[in-house]
Amino acid sequence: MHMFNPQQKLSLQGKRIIAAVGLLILLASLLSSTAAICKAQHGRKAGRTLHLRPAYPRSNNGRLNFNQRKNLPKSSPKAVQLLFRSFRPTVPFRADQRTQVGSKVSEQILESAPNGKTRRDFISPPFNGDILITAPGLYVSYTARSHRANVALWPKGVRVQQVLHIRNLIRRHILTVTQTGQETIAGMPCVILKLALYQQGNPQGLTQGKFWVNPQTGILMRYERWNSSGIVSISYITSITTGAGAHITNQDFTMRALPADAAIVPLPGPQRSLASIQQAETEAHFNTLQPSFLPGGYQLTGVWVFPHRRFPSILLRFSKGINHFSLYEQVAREKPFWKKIGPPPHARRNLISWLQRSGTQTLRITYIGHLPPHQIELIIHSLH
Amino acid sequence: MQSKNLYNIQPDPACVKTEMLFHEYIDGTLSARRIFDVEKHLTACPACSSQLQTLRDTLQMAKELPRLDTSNDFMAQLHARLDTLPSEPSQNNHAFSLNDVWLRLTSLLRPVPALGASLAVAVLLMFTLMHRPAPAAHTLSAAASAQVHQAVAQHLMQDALDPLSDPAADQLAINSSQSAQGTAN
Repeated sequence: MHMFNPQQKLSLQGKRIIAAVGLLILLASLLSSTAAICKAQHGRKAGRTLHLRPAYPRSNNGRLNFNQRKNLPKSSPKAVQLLFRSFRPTVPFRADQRTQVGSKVSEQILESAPNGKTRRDFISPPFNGDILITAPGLYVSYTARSHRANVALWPKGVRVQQVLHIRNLIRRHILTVTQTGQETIAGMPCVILKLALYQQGNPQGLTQGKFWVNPQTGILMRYERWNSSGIVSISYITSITTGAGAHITNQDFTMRALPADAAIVPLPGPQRSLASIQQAETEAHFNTLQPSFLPGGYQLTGVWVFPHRRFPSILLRFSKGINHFSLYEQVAREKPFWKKIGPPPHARRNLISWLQRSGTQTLRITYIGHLPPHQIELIIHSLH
Repeated sequence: MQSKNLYNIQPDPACVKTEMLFHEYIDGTLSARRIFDVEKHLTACPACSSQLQTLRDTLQMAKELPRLDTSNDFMAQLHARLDTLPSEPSQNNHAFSLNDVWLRLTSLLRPVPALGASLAVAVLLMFTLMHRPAPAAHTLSAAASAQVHQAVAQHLMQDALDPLSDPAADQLAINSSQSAQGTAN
């Protein structure tokens, strides 16, 4: 006769309950670990959205109050006039120019025509034989090593917009131009101009550049670029010939001046900045990564999409006065299975490129700029 | 076989080991531990102790010999004579038998020095592994390099529009980074 054994049934139920609880715990731990991994990969929650702003400080909905306006440093009109004259010298010239960035040095032969055309022939390694031509409507960058020339056609008025932008910054007293002295460079008397960025609590402003300009011709004889850490680069003329003796012709600034059979690579020319990052993402069909940290004073000032058949790229440009840095984002062309994904551990260069995930896609991000290393590290680790 | 060992008797390794230390023992340059080892062996081995005594006597006799100075041009004459000698194929007069090599090795491989050496090797390995360059994953592939070049070309073009830019400085800064970036991801 079969007898009901409650003890046996209880133990069976107990086993089932224990198994179910165990499974639940396992599932919960799996979920929590997955969440932790995701959090670690993203580093942070979705941060603030970046908005395009003009490159000057704002308060009171973009307007400076009376006290702020009263305390703003003033530019010298003569200095401003001379700075703008240096953008387009009045005489043709041919000069030997030397450029220094840190311990690296480059030497060029610089040719300039009064109609805004400039040509640089690089004569020292590592750019021996390279040519850079900038003329109204034309940009040519020839690399001797690869025997190819990047060519872009600039639409009319693009450069004028840049000049107007600088004038706007000066008018708003965000940038101040002052004369700080006089000096003779390569036999030409020069006026030294200092370009400083408005900085609250600092009446001198933050030096962003120094210019040695010959007042008669407007030739820029020496140029120092500065950032918050000090001098970034120096370019100066070591010898110069002006006027007819320089033998400058219009032919020097055309494609004919390039070596024969150089491969021509057309670059998409510069266009107007897009209105927002969202618009760029719609055009490029991928989601960008945006920094949640920006160094003091830097703001997003431009968004561009460079079309490509398969891999369009988005350029985010951040500015503080006349200092800029760029983040280029593009869907990675290479298969990232064996590649290290994530920002590099150290960022001590002007050009850094790495792979990073954005949703389901892997992007190749390229940073180009002159920021100090600790600021670069903060930016690239804050991308989300 | 006979020529290798006349009586076909293998020498006692302890005796050979001790004999190798005789000169240093007499000179007093041995460590306390080695002196103890040598003296311990000498008390137990009359053959080695008599050999040591013979060596001591020989050295004493050599010391008592009258001192003879060479002439001033001795070295010059010696070199001149050496120069006149025909060159001979090198003879390995100091060839050790395998046994000797093994004995030397075993004398070196004492526990304490061996432990020290292995520790040093381990530390060196750790240091090398910790400070090794970035892994190969950081090297730019051709596709990545093309993307970076495209970004650089666009950046330089965009910068050239700016009247306050310095294209030569930008190019130099980017190039010096690119040469370092060759190893970056």
